[in-house]
Amino acid sequence: MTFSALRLARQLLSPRMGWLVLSLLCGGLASGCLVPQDDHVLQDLPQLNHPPRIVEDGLSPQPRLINTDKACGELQFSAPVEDPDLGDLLVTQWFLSDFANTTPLNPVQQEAITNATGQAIRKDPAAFTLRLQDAANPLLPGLHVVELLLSDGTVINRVPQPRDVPFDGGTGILTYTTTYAWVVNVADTGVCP
Amino acid sequence: MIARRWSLGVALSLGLSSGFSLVGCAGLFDKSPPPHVTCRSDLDCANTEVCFVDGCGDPGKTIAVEVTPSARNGAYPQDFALDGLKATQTFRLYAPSQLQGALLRDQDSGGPLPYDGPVSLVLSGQSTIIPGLSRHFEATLNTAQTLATGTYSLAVGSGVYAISATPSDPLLPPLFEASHEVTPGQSEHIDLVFPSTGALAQLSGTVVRSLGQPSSDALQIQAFDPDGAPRSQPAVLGSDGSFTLSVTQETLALQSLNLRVSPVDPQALLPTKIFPVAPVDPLAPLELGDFGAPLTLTSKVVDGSGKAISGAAVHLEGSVIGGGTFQSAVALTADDGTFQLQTLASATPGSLVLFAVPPATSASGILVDQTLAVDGLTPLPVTLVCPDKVQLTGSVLTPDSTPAVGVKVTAVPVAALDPKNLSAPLPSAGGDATTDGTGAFSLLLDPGQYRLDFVPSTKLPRLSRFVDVTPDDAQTPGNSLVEVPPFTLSHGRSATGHVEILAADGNTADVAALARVRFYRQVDNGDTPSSVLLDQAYADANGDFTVLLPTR
Repeated sequence: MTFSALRLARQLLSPRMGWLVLSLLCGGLASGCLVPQDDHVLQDLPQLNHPPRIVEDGLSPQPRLINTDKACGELQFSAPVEDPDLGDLLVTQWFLSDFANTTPLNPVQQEAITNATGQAIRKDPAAFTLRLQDAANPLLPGLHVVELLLSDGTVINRVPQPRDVPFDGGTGILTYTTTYAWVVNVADTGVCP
Repeated sequence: MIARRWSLGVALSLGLSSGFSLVGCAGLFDKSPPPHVTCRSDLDCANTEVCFVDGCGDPGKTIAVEVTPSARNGAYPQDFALDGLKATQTFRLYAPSQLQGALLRDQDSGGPLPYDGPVSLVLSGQSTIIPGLSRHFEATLNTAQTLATGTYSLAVGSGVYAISATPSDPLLPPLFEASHEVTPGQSEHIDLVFPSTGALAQLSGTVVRSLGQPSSDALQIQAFDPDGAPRSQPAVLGSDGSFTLSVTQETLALQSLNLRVSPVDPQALLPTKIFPVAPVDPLAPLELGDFGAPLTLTSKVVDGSGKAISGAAVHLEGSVIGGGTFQSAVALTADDGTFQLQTLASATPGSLVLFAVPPATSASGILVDQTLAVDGLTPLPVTLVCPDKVQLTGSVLTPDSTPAVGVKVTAVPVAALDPKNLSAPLPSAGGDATTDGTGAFSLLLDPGQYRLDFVPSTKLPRLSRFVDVTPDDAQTPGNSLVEVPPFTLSHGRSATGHVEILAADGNTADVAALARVRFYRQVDNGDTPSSVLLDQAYADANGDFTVLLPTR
């Protein structure tokens, strides 16, 4: 066995067979280009940004439909928010609209939530107080929508603005948004509740 | 646990006015004046004390904690008053408190029977331990259990509540109790007993526009006692203005009653009017008054420099001709600042007040115009000029008196500067900013009383202070400036804890993951108790949490 292997090697390295070996080597390398490289080329690019999330298990109030009266002072809304991108500044926008109206573009409250703990879930929830009686807050009796829009970047007129962080092959990091809405039925019976 | 039968008489004997004082949820914060601050930083206090919003105090005392489990554990908050902070706080939650009892209707003969119709049960109130925390629970009672046994049960958070029970049968007056306390882990027994047919009486009459001219408008009418408690359900007027209210015999025995006539559709161009009457059947005609034909108003909302304000919310409210009151729908200004609004005519010039509220991000503030004549002859001014907001500037220092950089500053409106002065109403929104490299911040705000919350990005605790934002009288163009002295943050200490919830057997406890934990300091404002948030956190998967509290 050993003898045969040595003899084969000697023949292959002889000047007469060298050309043949070289041709086979080049052919092999060339054909290597045709070998599927899917495992490497088509692998997912590392995700530059992840979407934030409204943690519905911690929403307050829990029911989506709330019945109240104008005399009842205020309603407090809050929602835990999280984002696996620990450094992202989360922006909350609260919209208030009549049920029948078109989607409002101007938030009644906008706030940024920083990450003080280094955990995905932010320490401070998104929070909004709906005052039912204020002169500056002209709520007619009827159905109203309180909507929370959460984003991990700037949102203007409900349109997410890409963050100005250029990366190879793109123009910026996408800004993600997510929403949650409550329907508030405001009665006008003059009685609380 | 107090078990008692809640009859209509007992329920309604409690005045609504006291109910408002208890459940005017915004009230506790809104109406309380800013406290007399005796310190500006911890250095003004004794060695062991911290400068809080209401002055120097022991940082380990007068702390109350609200713990709200996640939805999967029943999101019913429970409150804990801490005698003092320990190394680790463990909060063991009870199973949700229950409001339960019988759901019955008295019979003219024999004992009461289970009431078989749907009943809307609403609780609205606030925490007993942490004043200012509003709470609201509601349910429609028509479950199989209710129908089969004549009993009901509703899980609620702890607190003190006004409770109303409104049956779907419009002939049955609602039950109302102004104040009822629910303690953690306890069952509160309240029987809901609706009156029998024989205990009911009718109160009929007609609403007219003017004498001899019945109202054919889509209106409804409801009876209230002088304290504001409902004595009937709303009844829709017939096409000839006639109505019949179903009330109890007890209601007819009252000396006076307020009948409130209002549009069925809140957007309708119809007035609301309240008629104090002696409850005698039949009633004399109720004259709504000739409120005239609807008017269409147009104008343009601009800022101090004449630039159009887009997205401003404009509406009118006040008294109209005929003696009623009216609130218009809200019109949003277009990109060019113009708007169109439909209204009724004002009773007198200025009796209808116009409000224009620019978007929260605008540098212009709320316009309140009490001079308009809305009579169909006088057009609105071509432009309505919103005043500039007030610019509030200040700075934040660390406990070492160095600039505190990156501190989030949030202004929360808590009261109007003068509640009797309609021209400067309580702002509906505040604002937020972040301190720059010198620790400075700037906010554009409407005039009012605000609570400033400072949330540092570093390991320092949050800080709250009250400020008055008052415009200067100089009428100089541009935003008037209010500069406040520097605010100094306190040192912080971490307080860890654990939240668990008792299982149904009452012996074992499960981890309360994602429970919301909020630490409050009870604030002594002199006349009205209130509370200020110290820190908050969510429990992790193990039920553990960490908060940062002020210390010396």
